[in-house]
Amino acid sequence: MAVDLSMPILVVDDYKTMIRIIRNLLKQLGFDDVDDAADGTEALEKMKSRRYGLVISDWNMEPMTGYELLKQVRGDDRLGRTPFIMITAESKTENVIAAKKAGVNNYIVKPFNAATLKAKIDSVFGE
Amino acid sequence: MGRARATGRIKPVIDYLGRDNAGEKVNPDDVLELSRRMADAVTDQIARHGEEMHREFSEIISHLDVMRLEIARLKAGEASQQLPVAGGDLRSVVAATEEASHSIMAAAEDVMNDAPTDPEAYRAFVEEKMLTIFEACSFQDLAGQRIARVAETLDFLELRLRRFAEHFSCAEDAAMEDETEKARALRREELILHGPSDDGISQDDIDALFS
Repeated sequence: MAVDLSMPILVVDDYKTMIRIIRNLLKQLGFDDVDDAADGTEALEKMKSRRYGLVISDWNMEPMTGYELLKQVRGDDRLGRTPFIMITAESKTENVIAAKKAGVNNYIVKPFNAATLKAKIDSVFGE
Repeated sequence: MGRARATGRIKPVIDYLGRDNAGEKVNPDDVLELSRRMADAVTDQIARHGEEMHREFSEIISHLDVMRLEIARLKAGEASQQLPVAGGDLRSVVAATEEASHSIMAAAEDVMNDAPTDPEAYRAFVEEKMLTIFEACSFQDLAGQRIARVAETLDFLELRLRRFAEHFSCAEDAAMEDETEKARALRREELILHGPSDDGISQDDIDALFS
């Protein structure tokens, strides 16, 4: 499956700088339709009103963490199949395994670079 | 009051000794009476001071018990885990900011030093360097999380030290953890358990888990 550069992507992070960085990296990779949310609750609201081709989320956010968002998305019939990448500082093995069990498609540890982001997006879409 | 009583008992003795007693014979009964009065006075003083000393020592022991308890809490509780983590966090922040500054300056210098000949190639070159700058700026997120954790540790220490001070200025105020502190402790625990970690697994290890 080829990566659709026109697909809308939702970036979820409580650090505005991080959102800006990911947004710019995605733009450099050719993705122009990038939306953002400051935590899981806001992301879920946005996902209910728009169908995103990919969600890229941080883990540590309040009130709803990225992990909780992932579980909510996977438990939702309509949103359940949305590709989901976690980009986070959470590099403990148990957290990675928990995210994998919850259905995350890929996992990127901060700090990361554009090449890693591209590789993981390609991997999620089977390229 | 004890001193006045003791002084009253030995006053006749002092008066006797103060007189010109030259040529007088010393009566053994007087010597015995003198000894008895002196012994009574000293015993009275010792008993009185003993009570005061006992009370003072009890208070000191009580303060020391509180201090020992607080130190034990600091040692066995979160502080022993938080302080090394806070130190590591600050060192990581220093290293990350240094590395990011170096990357950003290096990218800027590369752009400044390049002599453009082919506009397309130059555009691609500048875009590549801009990408490097964006990547380098991601240090802010991790540094922010680490500094937030250090701030929590400092808050924790401030609370404990304030409690120490309160114990020594008001010994009876031994109020322990209230609900607010319990909530803060829970949040601190979450911060310790989550966020950037120096002993986490690498991206390669994670990729292996997903392959």
